[in-house]
Amino acid sequence: MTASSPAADAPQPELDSADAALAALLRGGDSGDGERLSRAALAERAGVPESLLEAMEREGLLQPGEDGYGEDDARVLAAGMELLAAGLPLAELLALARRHDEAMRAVAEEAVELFVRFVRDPIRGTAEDAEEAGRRMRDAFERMLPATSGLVAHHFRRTLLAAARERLRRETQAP
Amino acid sequence: MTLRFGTADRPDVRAGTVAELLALSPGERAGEPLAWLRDGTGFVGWGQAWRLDPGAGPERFARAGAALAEAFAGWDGRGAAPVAMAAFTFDPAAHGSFVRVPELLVHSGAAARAVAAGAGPDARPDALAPLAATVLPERATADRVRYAGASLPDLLWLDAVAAATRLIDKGDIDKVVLARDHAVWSEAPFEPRVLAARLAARFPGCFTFVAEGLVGASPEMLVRRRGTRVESLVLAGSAARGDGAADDAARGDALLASAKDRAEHAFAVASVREALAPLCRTLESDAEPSLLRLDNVQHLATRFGGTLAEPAPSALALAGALHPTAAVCGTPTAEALEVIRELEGMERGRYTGPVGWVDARGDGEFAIALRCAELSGARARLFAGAGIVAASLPEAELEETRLKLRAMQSAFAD
Repeated sequence: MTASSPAADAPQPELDSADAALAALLRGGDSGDGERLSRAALAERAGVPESLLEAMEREGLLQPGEDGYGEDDARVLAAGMELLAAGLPLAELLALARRHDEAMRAVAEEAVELFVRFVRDPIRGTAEDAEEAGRRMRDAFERMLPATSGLVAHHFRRTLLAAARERLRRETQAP
Repeated sequence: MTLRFGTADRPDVRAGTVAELLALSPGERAGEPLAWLRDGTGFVGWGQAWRLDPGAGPERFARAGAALAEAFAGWDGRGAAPVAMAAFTFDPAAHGSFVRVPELLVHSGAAARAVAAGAGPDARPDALAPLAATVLPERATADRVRYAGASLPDLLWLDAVAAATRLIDKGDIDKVVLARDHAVWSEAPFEPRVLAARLAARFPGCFTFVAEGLVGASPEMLVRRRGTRVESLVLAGSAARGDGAADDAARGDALLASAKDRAEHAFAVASVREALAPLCRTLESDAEPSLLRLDNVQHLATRFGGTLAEPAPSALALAGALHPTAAVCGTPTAEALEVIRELEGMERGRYTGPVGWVDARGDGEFAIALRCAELSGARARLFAGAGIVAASLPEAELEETRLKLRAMQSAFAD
């Protein structure tokens, strides 16, 4: 269940400049800007025990960047706290998060595969040089990441609302 | 106050199954019965010929034993021995324990037998009182079961587990068992006999009990006494059942090989040996823990068997000597109890306390009240706990208690 990143541990082959540009974007993709926070500082800001953050790190649900946590981690944590404050028990939320994580990992791998086959490979095959390939890949990635995130968020919201409506409908029809 | 007793074989009583036994109705004595069931047999008792609230304090077992011996003094030694059922609070400082001799008790088995008890010189206890066969409802409540919160939000429970591991790292304690509760409510009252029937059907090898609002199915036999023979079963260290035989076996092997679970188990075994050895002429135990597989979970198990030194203490006295074991409190006991009081943030009541029966010969069985709920009309509290040792991860213990709570929740669910 814990996230592993073999690429970070294994000796890496040299990246050409096209892929190096992409790699730089990937590194920055989930760290956000702004102030960096230690685990203790993040716990204090979110008003949660540090033991929760330790547990979430071990579960792979929260991953500090190389220089600690960012503002986006604080926002996500605050969102989680909203759910707890509304009454969801942590044990159930963690269990759901594990299932969500597992399902999303599979979808993400598939999405990466699609990017490689239908975006990166064609760019590399048609670009004049590595520099152009790098630029086009960066453009594609910068357009695609928010688009994908938006799609997924929107779809999840629609699915959630539909499930809730269906549940209500069943309950009001129940004898 | 002494009691008078009567016994009778009851070929008229058809109680071939646990559900049939629970569904017997004694007419005007009806009300919530006491029940003790295992492997498809057991007893159900109605009414109250004698009852004692032994109060608080570690000496509550001795008080209960002495008073009960007096109450049983009127038994002439003929027929089936009269039986008292008892449940004790986990925390010696807590009130809420009871010992009760029912007016009419029916043992099932090959042939049903009734023991009646009455108080006072004029009592004519009638073991031949009419018993009607009824049918239990299928569901524990006529309404839905809804969540009603917890004594301690589980975010704070997670932090309590982390705090406990820090105390263990510091060397203050070796092990502590931390539990949490899960309250539910319904528009209609919960029926303890339905819960018991469902638990007994799902966990036939466990001790299913109904004891004044406390209903559960415990896999853990604290002590059994027959004459001078004494037995105990230690369960500590557990894992989930797997998906399919191979996964199940792999999880079982991992549990047997887990240093963390073996350490947790060893503390519990040592605490039972320490309590029983001074009372026994001989005492043996399994050299190595084995796996006990239940419907929803598998445990590390060690069996104890021995011969009691004379005069053999009663089952109730033995329960008092053993309680609390490291399987429900921790090691060392006194320090672990303090940590529980400080960190757990709830009243355990009779959860993790001894529950069982003792008869006029001193024979009996006590289980540890695990996998159980406290019922109060249309409200109930379900409980689950986990043993915390040095290598415990708070999120894993939280998940373990979530899975354990599910076993009880499914007995409540429609």
